[in-house]
Amino acid sequence: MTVLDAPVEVPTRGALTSRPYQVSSVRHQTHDIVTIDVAPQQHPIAFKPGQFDMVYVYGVGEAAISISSDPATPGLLSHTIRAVGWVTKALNDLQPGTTIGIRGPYGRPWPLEEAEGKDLVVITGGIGMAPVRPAIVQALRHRERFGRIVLLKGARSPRDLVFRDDLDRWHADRSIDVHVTVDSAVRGWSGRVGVVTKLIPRVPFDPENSVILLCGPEVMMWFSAEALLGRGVPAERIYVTLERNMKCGVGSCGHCQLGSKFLCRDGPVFSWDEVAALLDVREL
Amino acid sequence: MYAPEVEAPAAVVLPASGLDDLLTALTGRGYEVRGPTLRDGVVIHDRLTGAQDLPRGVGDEQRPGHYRTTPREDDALFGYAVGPSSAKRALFPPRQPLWSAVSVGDADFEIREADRPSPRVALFGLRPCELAAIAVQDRVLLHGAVPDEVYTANRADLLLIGVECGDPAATCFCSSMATGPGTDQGADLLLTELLGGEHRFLLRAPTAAGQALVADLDTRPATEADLAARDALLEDAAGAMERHLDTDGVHDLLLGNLEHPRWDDIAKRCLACGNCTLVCPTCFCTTVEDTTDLAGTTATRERRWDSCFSLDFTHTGPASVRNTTRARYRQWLTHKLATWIDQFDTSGCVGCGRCITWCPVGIDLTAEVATIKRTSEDPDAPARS
Amino acid sequence: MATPAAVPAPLQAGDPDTLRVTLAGHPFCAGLEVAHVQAMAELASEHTFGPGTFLLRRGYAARTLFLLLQGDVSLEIVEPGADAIVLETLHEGETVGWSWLFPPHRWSFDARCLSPVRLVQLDADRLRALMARDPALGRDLAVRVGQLVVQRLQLTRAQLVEIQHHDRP
Repeated sequence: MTVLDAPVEVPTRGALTSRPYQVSSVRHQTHDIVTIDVAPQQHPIAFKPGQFDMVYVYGVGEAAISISSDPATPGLLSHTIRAVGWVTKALNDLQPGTTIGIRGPYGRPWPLEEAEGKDLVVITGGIGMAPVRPAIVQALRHRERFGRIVLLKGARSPRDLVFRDDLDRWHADRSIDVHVTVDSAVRGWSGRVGVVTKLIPRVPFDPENSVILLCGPEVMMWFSAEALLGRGVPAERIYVTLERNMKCGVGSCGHCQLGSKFLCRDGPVFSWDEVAALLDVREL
Repeated sequence: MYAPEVEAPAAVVLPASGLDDLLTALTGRGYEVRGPTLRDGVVIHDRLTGAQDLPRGVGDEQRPGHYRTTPREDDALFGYAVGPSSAKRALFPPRQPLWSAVSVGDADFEIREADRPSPRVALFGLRPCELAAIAVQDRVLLHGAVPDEVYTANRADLLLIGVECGDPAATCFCSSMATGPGTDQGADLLLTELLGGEHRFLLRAPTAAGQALVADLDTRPATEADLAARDALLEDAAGAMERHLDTDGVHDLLLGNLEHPRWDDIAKRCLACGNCTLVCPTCFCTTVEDTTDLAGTTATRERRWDSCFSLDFTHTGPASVRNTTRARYRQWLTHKLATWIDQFDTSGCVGCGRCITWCPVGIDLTAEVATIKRTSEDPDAPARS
Repeated sequence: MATPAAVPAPLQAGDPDTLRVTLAGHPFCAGLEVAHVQAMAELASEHTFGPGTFLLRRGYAARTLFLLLQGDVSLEIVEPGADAIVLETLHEGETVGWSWLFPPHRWSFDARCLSPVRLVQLDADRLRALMARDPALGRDLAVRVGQLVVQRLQLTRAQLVEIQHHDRP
């Protein structure tokens, strides 16, 4: 007997339990960024663009990793990882055939439906390309539902550019307007040099009828949001994805709290008006 | 909530000598009974085999950074306020094995869920603030977006027996948080210890389970005098409460003062030891630890309590977000008293005072909030949540 | 390689009407009074340069304001023995250089055409004289160049942060 208002149903075990998946291929994108593919047959993970998984390396630990593959092909699940900590370094050193643990998907996805009938503008810095790639792929699959699709992609240097195959394909495709810029380059790079923010005032899209997906370092997102606001994009249609220490993925461990939000559960995707004031507070 | 005008149904009186029968009745129903007992000079929650395990004639002395049990001149069985342990320890254990990865071959492993025995537990002698804390944890861990599998399993078949407070500690402020010193809810059975005259307990049973227990005991109906004795006891207890927390507008006050100089002042005293989060009956933050056996064939994942006071807590990429003690204390207090309300529609504080008593340098949140309120430089600063 | 323009090419006597329209359409002149654009057009000329042409060279006198109409220009600096470091690329609608306005009127970087470039250039000595004669125009242009410097500084800071962010251990 209990004093609960209503009988509770004990949830099935395993919300916090990883499932083993065998790595089918490891694709090195740059010197410190790798894309790891698994081919789930028994337990495909149905996800939406912008969601993430908790990826476990045997005996090392677990990290929150953006899903970078096409949501329409659950038979191929990709995670793109930059080597930063113990787990992500171990993931960068993985060999095909190794088993990793995955649980997910977690988090609030990009609002692609909201972008239908509008221009879709995607702005990324560095590995920020990973969580928006599924959104671009899905939007291109339903190209007719969107106005212009614009990608502004920044990287630190030409050798830090990820998803080059996609860029080449999209460039050739012309159904998406791609602009690439790097922060620093030596002669030999024939493209733009400068921050991605600089592209915002001049690239053709309708600021009053567009949805922006923004992903990169917080400083880059702040500068970009300022430029977008300056061009007349309303704050509630600028979406960013935030990163904090995500441990459980379901909003119960407390690690990824920002103000009253648990990033893993309430985000990681937020509209700018939801989080701008929080991001201004140091060490919040 | 202390509401003397509302009388619980069918209050009865059990002589103090009959308390052992109550414990026996619980054991007889297959419950593992956990309640207050004296261990190393501290009242903690542990397994009880009978009324003899209760701290008889024990009082306590609590101040900021100070806790001592003291002898009492009477035979009170509940003559002390809350100690460092709370129901959280039973319902949301400090260490909880989750699963193991057992290696198969060179590059493969299997996942095995951890065994989790879930005994039938009766928590005995919980104070109104502790019952309120369970209600808060219910909101977080039971009725959250994803119910916690460990908490829910422990909570599903649980009997709660509460005891009202007649002798609050100097660190208590439950009357400010509207959680005590008396209550009419939150437990299957509620006890009030009456010491004047005959040593007896007033029993009220808000649930059928509680009423069934009472039916097994040798009780007599409560008289007007018994009920009046309870009212007087609770009134005295509320009146004796030394500390107060002004909850009116505290949400906006704290979130509008995120850069208040008081945070720097607190940070000079705070050791960031995390004691407050460990003794807090509602703090729910956890981390996981992966340990590999010596042979390297089994990696075990265990969930354990974590604290927002640890530097590692916000480790993101190569560094931590909250590097300073100032930011970590601010996170704890603003979460407890402000953003908690946004998230769970209730304060995270029940006024038990544990964080004041067990803080090694005696930081008192009621005093800190009062100071921030008194010196709030910009009352119109935007509340950021 | 085309003629270096570090020493500005002599002004061409272009069609003033066409130049005025071109100038008025450049973002640098957006919102300027018509009379001011007219006055500036008299100091302006339109040019095209091939890839590889240097518009500016470090240390040379800054006597020209370049307004890009078409093509890409890279702002560079060279460390001896290494490849040129590209600090920023400038494109259609952007302005090259502000050293013409501030003493000692000397360029600090090299600017090289990456593609065929079409631009309008204004004689900076005469432009400064014009600004001195017409305080309203002077103030307006000074604010515009100031904004340009501020924007470029903000972007450079962002760039710095991004490079450092990536380099964190």
